[in-house]
Amino acid sequence: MPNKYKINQIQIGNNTFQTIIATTSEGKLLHIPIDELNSDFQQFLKDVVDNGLTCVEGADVETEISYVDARKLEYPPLEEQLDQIYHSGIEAWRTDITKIKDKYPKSQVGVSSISPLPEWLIDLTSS
Amino acid sequence: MSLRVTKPEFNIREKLNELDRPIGVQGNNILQSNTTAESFSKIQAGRRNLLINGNMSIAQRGTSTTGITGDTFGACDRWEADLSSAGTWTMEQVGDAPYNTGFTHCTSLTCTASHGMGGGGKISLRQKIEACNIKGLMGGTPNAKPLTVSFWVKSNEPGKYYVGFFRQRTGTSSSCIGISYTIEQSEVWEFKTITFPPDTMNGYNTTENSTGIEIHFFLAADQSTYGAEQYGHWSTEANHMAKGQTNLAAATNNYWRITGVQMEIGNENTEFDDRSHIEELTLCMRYYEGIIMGTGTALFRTWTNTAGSPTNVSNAQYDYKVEKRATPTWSLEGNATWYPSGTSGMSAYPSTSTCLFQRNDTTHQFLADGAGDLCGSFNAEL
Repeated sequence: MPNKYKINQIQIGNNTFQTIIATTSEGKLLHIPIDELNSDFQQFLKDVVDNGLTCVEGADVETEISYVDARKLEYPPLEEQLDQIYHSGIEAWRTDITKIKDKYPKSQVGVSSISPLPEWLIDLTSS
Repeated sequence: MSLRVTKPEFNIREKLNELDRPIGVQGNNILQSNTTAESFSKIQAGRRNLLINGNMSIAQRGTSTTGITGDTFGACDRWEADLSSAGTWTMEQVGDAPYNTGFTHCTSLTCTASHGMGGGGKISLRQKIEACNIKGLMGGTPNAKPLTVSFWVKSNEPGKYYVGFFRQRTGTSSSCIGISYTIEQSEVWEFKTITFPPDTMNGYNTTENSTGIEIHFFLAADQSTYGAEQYGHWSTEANHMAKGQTNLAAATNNYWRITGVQMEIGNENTEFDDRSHIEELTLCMRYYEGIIMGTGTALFRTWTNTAGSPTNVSNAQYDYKVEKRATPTWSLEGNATWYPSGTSGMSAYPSTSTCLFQRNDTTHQFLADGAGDLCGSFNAEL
């Protein structure tokens, strides 16, 4: 029985890296790099050519982040917040923070969806 | 006037005795050398074995794999069962070796479900050698050199067996050759040596870190696919690889064992090229590095990115002990798990020298393994 594959994607600095996660018939997870000299990647290419794209699933992408992460990204650094309290008082600080909290209500949860397969993979089956 | 001449004493009896001192055929060969290079070549000094783990002493993945029906690295490092339509097999590292030779382990293949060997099937034990490591062979040039393979072998099924080679050539078919040997007695270790002629067929693999040549020890081969008339020389036709090969897959419990495998340049075999354990292990790790953990220990210290991009992700890093041949595949092994349990674990982003583990949140993790054994692996086999 051929392996099941999933594209895995992560952002490191300005670069997006992809790897392939294979689930073998024994249930083992293999993290396979996209490297033509890697024998597991060679097997992945062979399985896609032999069995089609149905054995591969696209990468999970977070289309909307949770309110926790969204607020974290927008809050000013702690030093700036303390500075604001010192100079403008706690009410001014509370007003600014409330704006962020209202912008991202607690009802906002992270949403993941599956992205389309990469072009190079689709080209593999059409060539 | 008289002239006195002196000369060193000459003992004719001593000189006659020297003529009786045996020099031997090899001594004569060396004496006839015209250059230092020729003498060196005749002595066959230096690193000789092109194979890794020929004494079957390293088994990072574990000592046994059962239920093998396809290509599998099942026990000893670098040695792979090359298997298609040939029944079911168990591959093991076994503490059995020829007596008084210094060897302690062998690779054993045992048939657990028989096969009549139709449908183009075959089973062999193979090792692939990187192109960068066989340059001395000069394969594909007019100066190509012969190869000699020596090994100890044992089976319950005496008969004709084959050793074969496939040499990769960029842009064209591999050149290949198969030469037979005979196992004379059942269940007795026998020493075999086979010399293969030089492979002058044009071309070689120009990708230095991919396969240059692979050696196969056949255990069974479909005769309609591999049983054509024997050539005994290199060609592009694999159908003459194993004419008359014994079918070891014919019955369950048939076994075949091998150790002390040496593949060297030249027409003659030499004594086994013993390397230290750590040297052999290091050579193996270019292709597969197992991570062993002691009972109750943890591996990897994660940290959270608070600066740069992206922030708020957990990271861990593992630097390999040996640079890898190619970017390796990461896998958890045995009963190892990421802790805290119930989380999805970390994704691996390896290069040939290091591996970054990362997950897209601030959950700090480590790797736990209660059994004190192999818990993860980086695989860059050919």
